[in-house]
Amino acid sequence: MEINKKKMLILNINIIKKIFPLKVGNVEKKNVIFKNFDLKINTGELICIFGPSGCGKTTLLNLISNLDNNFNGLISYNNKKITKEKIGYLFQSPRLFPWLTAKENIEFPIKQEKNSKKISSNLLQKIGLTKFGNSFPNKLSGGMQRRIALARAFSTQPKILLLDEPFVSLDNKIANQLRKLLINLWKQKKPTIIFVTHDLNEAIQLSDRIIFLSNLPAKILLDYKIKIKRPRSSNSAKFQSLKRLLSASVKP
Amino acid sequence: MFTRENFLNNEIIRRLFSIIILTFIWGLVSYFLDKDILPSPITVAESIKYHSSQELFFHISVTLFRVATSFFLAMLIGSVIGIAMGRKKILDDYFDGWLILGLNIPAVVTIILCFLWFGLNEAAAILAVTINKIPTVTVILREGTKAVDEKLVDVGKIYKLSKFKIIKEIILPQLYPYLVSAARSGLALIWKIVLVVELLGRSNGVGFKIYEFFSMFDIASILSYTFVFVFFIMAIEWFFIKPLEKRLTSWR
Repeated sequence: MEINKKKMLILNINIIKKIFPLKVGNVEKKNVIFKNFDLKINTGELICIFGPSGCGKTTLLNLISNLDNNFNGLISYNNKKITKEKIGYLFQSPRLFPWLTAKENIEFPIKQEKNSKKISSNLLQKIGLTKFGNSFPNKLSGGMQRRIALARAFSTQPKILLLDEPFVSLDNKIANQLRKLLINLWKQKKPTIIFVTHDLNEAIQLSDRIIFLSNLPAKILLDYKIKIKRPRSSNSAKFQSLKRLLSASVKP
Repeated sequence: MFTRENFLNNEIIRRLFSIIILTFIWGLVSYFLDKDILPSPITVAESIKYHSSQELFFHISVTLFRVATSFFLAMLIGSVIGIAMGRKKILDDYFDGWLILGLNIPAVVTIILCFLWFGLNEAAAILAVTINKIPTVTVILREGTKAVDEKLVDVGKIYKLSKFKIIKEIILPQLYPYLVSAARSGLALIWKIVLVVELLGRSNGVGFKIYEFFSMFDIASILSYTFVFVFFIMAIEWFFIKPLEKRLTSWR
């Protein structure tokens, strides 16, 4: 039983201390973002990190992805330091390369691989943009650009996929389409997904588990497993009552 | 059916028309002046015809070779230094002063010093021109590098690209507009400096010939050499730099 459990614990986040230097006028302030923060995520799990803005959600993703390695602690995957692991990251803005076409953007991380062309056309088809493969990003709508970015994030078949409020500032209908697309893509290879959001509806709709974070220094207020079957309609009674329950238990 | 209005509506015709007006004014002024002071357009045309049968194209090709060599050297060296200074603040701090010094040394001083130190030879001539141009290329590329979107660089880091690949595939494409602008201003500056170099210390090339005509007070020949050479420089801009710019920035 003990061994089995160890095998299941795949992504292990242990941050002893993460400080962000902050200059207010001439005074150097040290903002403690994380202190003794522990989170274990099972492989293939889709978890949402939910919390107020400025509570260190993006910082957490940057630490996991090694964009930021200035902290005390250890983030390990499969008991090994995470730095060499294949990670996908979908940022708040699409961050497509404007000088590459949609298709070339999707192929960018896998250019060296032999079947990159096949993978990209396959992904283009899945996101429904086959016709726009040769368009440059500035000719595409915001929703389309995010679909391309989503396809790029999946192109490497990452073990871990980080998403930082990727559907914010889109209208509801398009955001919902993108959420469905995300779930469909996730179901194929089941990467571990960490999805940051401050939209409770989105969190309930997508995740296996929601981690509620407090204000700084960030602590886990509540770690909640969602058992409603997918697809989840936000109009259903189950959804609504869960939403009430969660917002009541997290609000101070 | 050309009425006067729609005749002048065409941009190309307007441009052509303006050249004709200028030639006409020139002819008119030369008619009233001594023909040795300002030869008429017809005299200059005849002079061009005469020099074409002599050594005109030999001297132009010599000068163009010097322009091309120092142009590519200055672009290469200036870009490398500029990108390095743009990426590394510490280099910028150390070498900014040198750069300002380089920008402010008069071209004639560099040329004379190069000839005094290295002798009246081809290498010294090309070195003098290159040294004159490097600082401007460096400044343009440094500003371009500082304007590089770090968010796109992060995408490269996520996919674990090497430093070299990040420069080649993410930073360089963002610098294309700056490279084109450096090339354009570079060409304009370099060919003028090359003429001075030839005038001071070479025994062939357009600058040398102009000096020769100057000592013989041969204004018609000076003008004919100038026109033909300027025509070549403009042709480079039209057939080389403009198409290159179009190709590199087609995504805009």
